Amino acid sequence: MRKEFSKPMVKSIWIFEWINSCGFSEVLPLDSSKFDMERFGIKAVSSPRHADCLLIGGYQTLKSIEIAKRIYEQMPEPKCVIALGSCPISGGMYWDSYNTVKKVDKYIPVDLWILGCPPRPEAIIDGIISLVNAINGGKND
Amino acid sequence: MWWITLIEIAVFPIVAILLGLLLLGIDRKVAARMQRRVGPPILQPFYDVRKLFIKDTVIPKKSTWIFDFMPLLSVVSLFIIILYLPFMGLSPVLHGDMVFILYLLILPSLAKVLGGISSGSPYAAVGSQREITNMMGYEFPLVTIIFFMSWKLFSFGVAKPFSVASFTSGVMWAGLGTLGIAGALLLLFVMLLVIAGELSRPPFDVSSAGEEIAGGITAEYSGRNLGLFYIADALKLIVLTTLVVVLFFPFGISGFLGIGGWFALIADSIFYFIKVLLLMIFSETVLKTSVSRLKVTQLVNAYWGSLLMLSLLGIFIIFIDMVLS
Ligand code: SF4
Repeated sequence: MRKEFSKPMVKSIWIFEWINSCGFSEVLPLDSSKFDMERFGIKAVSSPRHADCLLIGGYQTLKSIEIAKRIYEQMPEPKCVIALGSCPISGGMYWDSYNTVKKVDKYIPVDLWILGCPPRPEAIIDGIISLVNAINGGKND
Repeated sequence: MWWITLIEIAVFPIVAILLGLLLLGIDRKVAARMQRRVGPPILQPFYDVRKLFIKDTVIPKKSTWIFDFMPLLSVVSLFIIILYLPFMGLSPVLHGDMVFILYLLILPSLAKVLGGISSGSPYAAVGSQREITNMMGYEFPLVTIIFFMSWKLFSFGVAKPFSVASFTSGVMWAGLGTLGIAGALLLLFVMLLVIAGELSRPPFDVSSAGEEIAGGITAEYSGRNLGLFYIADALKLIVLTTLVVVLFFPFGISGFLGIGGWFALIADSIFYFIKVLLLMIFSETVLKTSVSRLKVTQLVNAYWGSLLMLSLLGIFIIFIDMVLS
């Protein structure tokens, strides 16, 4: 049973980043002084137990997706999952590898896909905030 | 009057929590501005705590009852310390002595360590060991400074050289020449670094190193328990800065301005807030934005080597000054 996000959570979102390959270049600018996600109360934490939101960036292999699943299970409710870039959607430019997970959705319930290769930092920040707002109270904006 | 004491016991901890969270917010804002960022709203710590109390609290299967109890213990022990210190520039509610406060100050860190060990996670266990190393480190310079000041009180012929009340007379600066003031400033510098160590803030944040050991001590804590630790951090900030205020700047402003009654109370508490704020900015925000984390071995060397030597040097300079004059 999924717990819903409530109003107070919108102002303070702690994210846990699970990133492979060049996915790191997608989330690094969020912390920089130009984009600064902290002004919206978004903070990167280092333990899944503290996190509200799981960011999956970069392409997932059959092994790394198992760890992503464990991280997802360790996060306390209410929680959400965001997939960054075209790699989690379709395997991206690694689509023909034997080892790539083509659709992350088959393993973890992804709430939001953010397109781009890599996605722009503005898009990621906007995505996180509007997702949490949308889950808030169960009504869609 | 007993009812004033009762009101103070009820109100002080709540005011201390609010003030501590506000200070943490200012800390984050100033740090952001120093890095040319916009930074979170000043009330961000309040939002964080509110969210943490709403979230689920996960208790690992392998943990014991200690895991669930320790966050509460660390907050409560800090409540007790606040009652022994002149919080908001008022006289302390309970009368104790400095050694007792030193012992009580160990409790919050010890609670965190015990909670970390009992959580059953290897990351938290490593974090706890590091925190114990850290605790052994910062106690040494801290105790040196406090015992030096009691010695000074003793040499002035004060009846109770260890009670908090005698510390609040501004004994640090009494009877010092220019040389002695330089020594006292050295001690103040050491004390600021001790605050950073007690709070496990950079460069002494080995126990909660996010990048190495996944959040360290609090790795398994979530929800309500993590929120309590958050509050304990805010309270600890207040307690430690108040301790430095007691040791170095116990002066009120109302006597200086020549006002009395309720206005004196308000002026003194505003002055107290300014002192605490400045101490926090110099001991935390500036350090946080300008230096990076030490290794565990470097940390022990820093405390037992450089900082201890610096405090002994400061004491030595003050000795010379007192002998000369
Ligand atoms: S989406 Fe593009 S930038 Fe992101 S991990 Fe895949 S290939 Fe790299």
